[in-house]
Amino acid sequence: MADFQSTLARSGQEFLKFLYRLINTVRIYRDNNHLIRKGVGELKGVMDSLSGGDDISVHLWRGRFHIRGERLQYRRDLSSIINGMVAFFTQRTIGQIIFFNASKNVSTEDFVAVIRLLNDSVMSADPPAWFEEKILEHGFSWVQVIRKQDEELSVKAVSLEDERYEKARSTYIHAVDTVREVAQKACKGIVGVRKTRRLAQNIVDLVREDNSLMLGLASIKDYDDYTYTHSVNVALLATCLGRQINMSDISLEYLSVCGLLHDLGKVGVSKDVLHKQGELSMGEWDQMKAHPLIGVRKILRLNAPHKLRSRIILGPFEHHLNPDMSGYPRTIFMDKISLIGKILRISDVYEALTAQRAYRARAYAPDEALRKMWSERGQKFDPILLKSFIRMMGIYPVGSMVELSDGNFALIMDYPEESRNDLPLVLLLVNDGKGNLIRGDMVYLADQVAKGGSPSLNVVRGIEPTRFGIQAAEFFLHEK
Amino acid sequence: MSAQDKIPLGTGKFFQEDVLKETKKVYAGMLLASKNLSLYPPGHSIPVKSIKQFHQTLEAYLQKYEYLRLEIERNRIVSLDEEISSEPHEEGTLPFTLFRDGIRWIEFNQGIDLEEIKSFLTIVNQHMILSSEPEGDIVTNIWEAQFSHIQYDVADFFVNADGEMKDSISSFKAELDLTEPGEKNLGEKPYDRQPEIDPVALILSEQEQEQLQEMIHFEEEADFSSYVNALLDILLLYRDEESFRTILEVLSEEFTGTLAREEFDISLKIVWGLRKIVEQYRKQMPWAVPIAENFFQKASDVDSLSPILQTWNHINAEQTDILEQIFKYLDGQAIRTLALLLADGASQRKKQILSDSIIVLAGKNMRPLEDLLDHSDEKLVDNLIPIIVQLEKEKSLHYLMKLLHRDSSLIREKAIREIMDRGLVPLREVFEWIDDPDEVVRRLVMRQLGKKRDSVIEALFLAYLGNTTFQKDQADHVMVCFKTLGRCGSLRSIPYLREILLNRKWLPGFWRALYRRGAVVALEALSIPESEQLLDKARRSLHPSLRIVFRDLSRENQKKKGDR
Repeated sequence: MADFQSTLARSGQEFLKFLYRLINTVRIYRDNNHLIRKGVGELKGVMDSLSGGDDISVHLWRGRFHIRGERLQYRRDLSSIINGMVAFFTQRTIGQIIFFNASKNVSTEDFVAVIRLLNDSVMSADPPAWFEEKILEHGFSWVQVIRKQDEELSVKAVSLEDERYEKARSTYIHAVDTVREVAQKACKGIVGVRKTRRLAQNIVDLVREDNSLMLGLASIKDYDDYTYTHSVNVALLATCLGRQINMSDISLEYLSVCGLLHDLGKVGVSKDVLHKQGELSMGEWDQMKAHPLIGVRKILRLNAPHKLRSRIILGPFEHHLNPDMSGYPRTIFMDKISLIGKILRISDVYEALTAQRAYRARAYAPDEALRKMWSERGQKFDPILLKSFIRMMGIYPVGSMVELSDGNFALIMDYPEESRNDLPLVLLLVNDGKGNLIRGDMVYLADQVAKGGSPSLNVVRGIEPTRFGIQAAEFFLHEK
Repeated sequence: MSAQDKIPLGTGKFFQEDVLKETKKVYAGMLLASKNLSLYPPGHSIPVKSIKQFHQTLEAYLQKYEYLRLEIERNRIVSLDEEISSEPHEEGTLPFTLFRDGIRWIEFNQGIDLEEIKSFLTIVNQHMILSSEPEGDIVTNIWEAQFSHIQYDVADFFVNADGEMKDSISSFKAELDLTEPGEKNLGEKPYDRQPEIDPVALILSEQEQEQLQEMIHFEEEADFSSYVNALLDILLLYRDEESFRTILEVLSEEFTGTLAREEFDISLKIVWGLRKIVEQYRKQMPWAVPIAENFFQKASDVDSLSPILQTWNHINAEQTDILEQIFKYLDGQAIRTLALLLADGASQRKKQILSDSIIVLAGKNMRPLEDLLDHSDEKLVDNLIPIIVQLEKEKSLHYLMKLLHRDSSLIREKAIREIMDRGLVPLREVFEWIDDPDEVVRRLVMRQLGKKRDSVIEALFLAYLGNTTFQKDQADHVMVCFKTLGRCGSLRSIPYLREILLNRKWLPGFWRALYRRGAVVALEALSIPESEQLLDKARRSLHPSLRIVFRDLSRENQKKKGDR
């Protein structure tokens, strides 16, 4: 019995992981892609060991998955997958999926077709019914979907989400405080890195649990404390990108610390220079260009263990270097930029472009910033990482204010997995009659389907939120 | 996962007392395993056995109850609201160690394996013996270990002392764009409109995916070379003394660290790069040069180079070659460590590398070598002699001459031999050392002078014996001179020896007897037909005093043989 349970626990986790991976892979690739074939092979492999000749039921009950009647224990590294699968079931009001024993003999094509149907069911008003209809149509009798029965599920999910949002919120606040504290203490003498490290670990955990929440937080702009909020935002963006490309948790921790500390050198640059309107003189520009070097000196003075120190120097030093090593500071010994440096470069520039700065008329809207960066791929940014970054952010990133095709304004709140990053969940912003924009309804653009099957409501363009006195993150956090 | 999620114990299936008893048993097993792990060296059978036992007990427990959660309090461990163990709130106890860093509970889940348990206990032990670590904490170590079957919860690290969390997020206010106040429409000045991004262009090709994996792999497996390159670049850019010193301190630590980790190519990069920078700075920033030189002195001391003492005998040829390059960038201080390596015994190739390196380093700074020659033991100095003789002639002679006064006769003899064999000093000068106040030096010089037939030495001895007025207490010295003359001499000495042996009746008795004895000894050592004839003639002499000489010498020789 015990052996069975541990096999079940192991295989159950693998099963959910492969199922989640396949759901996302089929969204991107055509049926004959080798990644899809591989994904089906992996999933069917684990189904063999899991079924033991019986049916496999995946049941979401009170926010927990049960496989073959046994509650699944979650490993920490699977949390984002579990969250993704909970969202997948919830959005489709699915309570249970049953793969009957006959499923082990079905072809790869049929398997992929069912996964595509599961994905597409979200476009329907009643996904379980739509799915049933479709599988009858295709003769897929080896799979069944059962509608969610209890309403407690959502209650449970909400309370877990609340907990996560609260943690994210407090992490953000303390991140700003910690960066400020390190920056101030680093000027006076030796400072420890324990707090910064713990903070980075919290960020990694939160990013793993809910990438989009952290991306939303990263849109907070506080111009009184710009250097500090900028640093925290860069840390969040960088960690999300690191997560997106599957860096290990320990590397993400380093990446996060680098983000938090990358502009430590700016604390030494005079505010007159930092906030100067118009062009900088040569001397002022030299001061600005020195900030990575000053930052490095401060980081080296932190009381950090050797390994950590060696991993958190490069990024802050390199974050103004271009892929061809042009930019600043100039280098002789180094011949390439580290991955952390490249990620920081992208995150830093994106964050800075989307912020209101004294030296330019207005901030770039998120989509505008991405387009500008895209036009400079290769010269200023690593193109592969930039692609991953834009895919992660969406062409209109979470937290962006956009204009919809019906003329309304909205905030991008999330990109559900099935939306292919172009049909987001948005928060409508409505005029309160006094010229202010206030919260309206939440709308899944994917649900707004016209008769012909194409979306009836689209994003037309991005808007710069500060033009309306809007702090996008405020809306974001409250709604979340 | 919240505690309410799983309460198999609350279903009434088990008696609380039984569960507690078993929980205490598991906890005791954990403490024992932890203790044994800290007491015995890695791999020892006792901790291995106790970890295995703990694993078995824990597994049985988890099969029955699904999980084990231990709540951590200041001075005790609690499970199911009952105390499992209590210990004083002090360093070295498990509750204190976990509580100090904010762990609220630890939970073990089904499927935990031996390796996970061992890693967990190793982390716990490490922190039990350390006082509060400024650089990291147990939470960081547990977090980084990424345990699959051990969960934990940590008190919010950022809660203020009063327990309240400051909420400043609501104070993050957006500001209206002041450059165009009051504008509420989209008539803003547009930036150059960039083309739309085609979503298809964002999909990574297979080649790009591979490149991305390579980047990640390189980042995660990276050695320290990129870091060191960056430090060198940073050093090159700093223009102030304080920053320069900061980087050099770090590089100094890195240098020893890389030697310890046998990353010699990176150690080489450090010293090579720094020499390059020093050259560049010599004119621009002369103040930087002594600071950099100080780095090299520090990097060259025994403490910094000590990791090589542990590894020198097992490193491969490629590593040895890199170390050879490193040695040559160092300061003369490194000679101390290299001499220790030399004394440690190694292959001929390695000895050659050390020897070449010491010569190069001595060329930069002789002082460390001098100190070693003055203060080291016989074995070490003995190893250095073959190196000394390879130095420039003057330096070589200088140090060999110093060695003439070492306590060790072996060293003195080797020094003299090297001086004479290599002709470092004209024979006339060496000959003068036979009057050296040090008896041992005199003896060694004699031994060297008498090693082969040499007309120059012979002539010097003949002149010395003929012209010197000795004191009575120099009788032994005179005898040694005669003997050495016999060893290095030739037919040319016969007339002088005949004269002493058969004539010179005018000499006072003591001196006459001494010289005659000397002549006999010399003639015996000469061992040529002419000397034998002369000895025969003397033996047959009618003068009793002459026969007595032979008799006394014969007795002395017999006595010496008997003594041996």
